[in-house]
Amino acid sequence: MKMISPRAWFRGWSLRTKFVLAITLLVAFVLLANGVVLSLEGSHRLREAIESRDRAFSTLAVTPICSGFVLYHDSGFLKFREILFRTVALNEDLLAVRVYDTSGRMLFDSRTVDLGRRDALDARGGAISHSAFLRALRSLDPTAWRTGDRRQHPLLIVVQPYIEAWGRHHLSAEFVYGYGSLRAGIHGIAWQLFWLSLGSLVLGGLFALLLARQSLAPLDRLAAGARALATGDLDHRIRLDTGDEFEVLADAFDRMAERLSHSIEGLEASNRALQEMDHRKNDLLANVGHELRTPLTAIRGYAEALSEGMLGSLTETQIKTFAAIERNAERLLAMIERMFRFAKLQQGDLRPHFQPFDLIDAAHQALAIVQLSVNDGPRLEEELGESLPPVWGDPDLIVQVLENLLTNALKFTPPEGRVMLRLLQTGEEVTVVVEDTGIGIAASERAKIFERYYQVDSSTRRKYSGMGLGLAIVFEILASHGRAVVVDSKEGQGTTFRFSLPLANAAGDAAVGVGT
Amino acid sequence: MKQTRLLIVDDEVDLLDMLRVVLDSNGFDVVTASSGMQALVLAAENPPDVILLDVMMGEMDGWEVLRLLKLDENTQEIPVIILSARTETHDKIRGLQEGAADYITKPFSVKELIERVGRLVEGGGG
Repeated sequence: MKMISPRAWFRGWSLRTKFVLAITLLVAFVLLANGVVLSLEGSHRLREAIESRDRAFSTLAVTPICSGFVLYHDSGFLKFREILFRTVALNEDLLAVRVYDTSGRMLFDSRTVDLGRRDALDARGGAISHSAFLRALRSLDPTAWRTGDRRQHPLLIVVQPYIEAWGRHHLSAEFVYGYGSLRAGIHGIAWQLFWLSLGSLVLGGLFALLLARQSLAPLDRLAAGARALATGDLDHRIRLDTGDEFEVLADAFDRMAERLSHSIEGLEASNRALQEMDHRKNDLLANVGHELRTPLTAIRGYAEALSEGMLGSLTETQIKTFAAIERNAERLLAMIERMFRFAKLQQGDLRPHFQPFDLIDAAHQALAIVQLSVNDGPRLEEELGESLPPVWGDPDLIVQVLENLLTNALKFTPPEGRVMLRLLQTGEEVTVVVEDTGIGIAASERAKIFERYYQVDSSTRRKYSGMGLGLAIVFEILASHGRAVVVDSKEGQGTTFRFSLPLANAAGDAAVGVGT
Repeated sequence: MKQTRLLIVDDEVDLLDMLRVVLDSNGFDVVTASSGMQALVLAAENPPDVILLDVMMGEMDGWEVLRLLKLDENTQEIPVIILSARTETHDKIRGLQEGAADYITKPFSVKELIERVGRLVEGGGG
């Protein structure tokens, strides 16, 4: 059996509903208690009042009835009946009248005439003993009993002596009263109480609703404020002026939002400053690259001319020395070239000039550049195919991508390993695959290798020289082509870089928007 | 055999010196100019066989010099090789469109330069 905990009952009820319910319940309880007290108290008083009225009525009614009985019972019964009816009509609760003499003999019973009242004559039953009744008949004072079935048919029995003008007492009358008017009275009170309670309840409910709306409205604004803050609207302020706890809460909230927006502003400012600095750094790189290039060209030119013997014959050692100078100048230039290119890429200056070109040509160019630096390193293999349809992209940039990927692969592959460049036509694209049997890249490093200046770990920096720009340039160039590089690697077994370019005839229309 | 006369224009004096020394020793008659204006004057005075022209120069850049050379009927026939640090294809294309005979990007190999100049002179002479 599924148990429902009390907490679960109220789940999903709004605070407002609970508030209204609580106040309404409170009002209902107060009214109920009030009603119970009032009706108990009211019925008691009413009963007293009715009984005292009935006793008084008995005192007044005994004389006309008994004297009428004496004068007219035997001779003019109709006259007696008229007196009886007139008297009885004055009290709606009077059910029966009987006349006794003081010896206890019943001389008249209204049961013999039809009073049109409820028959309750037997109700006296055994509640009153015969001797007590006889004593009452003989007494000069009236006697009263509450009798009958208390709950269903309560009765008031009054025995009233008839004392004649000259003081003789030989007749007494028994009056039997029901509590019909009490019942009606209580009924009236109950209805009054009911309507009053209902009115109060409705009024209380409305008041509770009003109060709930009034006092919980700030909560809605607090919630709205919290939502605004959660969705990042830091300028939203709640600004409550209720003077209660809500205001305290809202103030705290506003202060928090204020501080948050301040710190975010600070962050944004420093972020802007950083971007600015980055931009300036790229500017600097570009300028430095340019400034370095000219003197290096001079150095390299001299070294080349010297080592080639253009400026006169040299010794073997001198030739080697100048060749070394030339080689190093070339390396420096290549490095600057890369930095310069990357700085431009970062600034978005280097926009691809899309055109159809032959990827096999580009691959040959890249291989020619890379082969210069492969001496006794890993084997460089190629599988370029006979011919491919032209692809769509910037040939200069793609040569750079291939060069960087190959250089990278060679750098991280041991001399006995191999690096393979492959071109595959797949549908409307040509896929370029650079595969090596190198040291591989750990899964955790894979996302970072395209960050600039990133080296897989600082210890490799010694072993594998370089600036960490090569793959970043690859990433940037391919991004400018709307392409991505897929890296697949097993540590210790090798790495595969893969990217694709669309065929020129397929991309021609689609790439119009991408072009310069 | 008449020496090939070269006019080299670059505002980088060191590079200019290197080119003069190297090309001179390779049998060229080298004249240098360190500004566009000077280059135009020298070219007009004594038209060289080939002009090596740097693009990025201070006051008057290589493009301007090239345009003025091509406007003057005395100099418009002289083949011009653009020397530029700009490696982008569209720069090369622009150079060729403006009437340059060749476009060599810096850093270049002097051997390559000599080769290209030689080819240009042969082509022009033949």
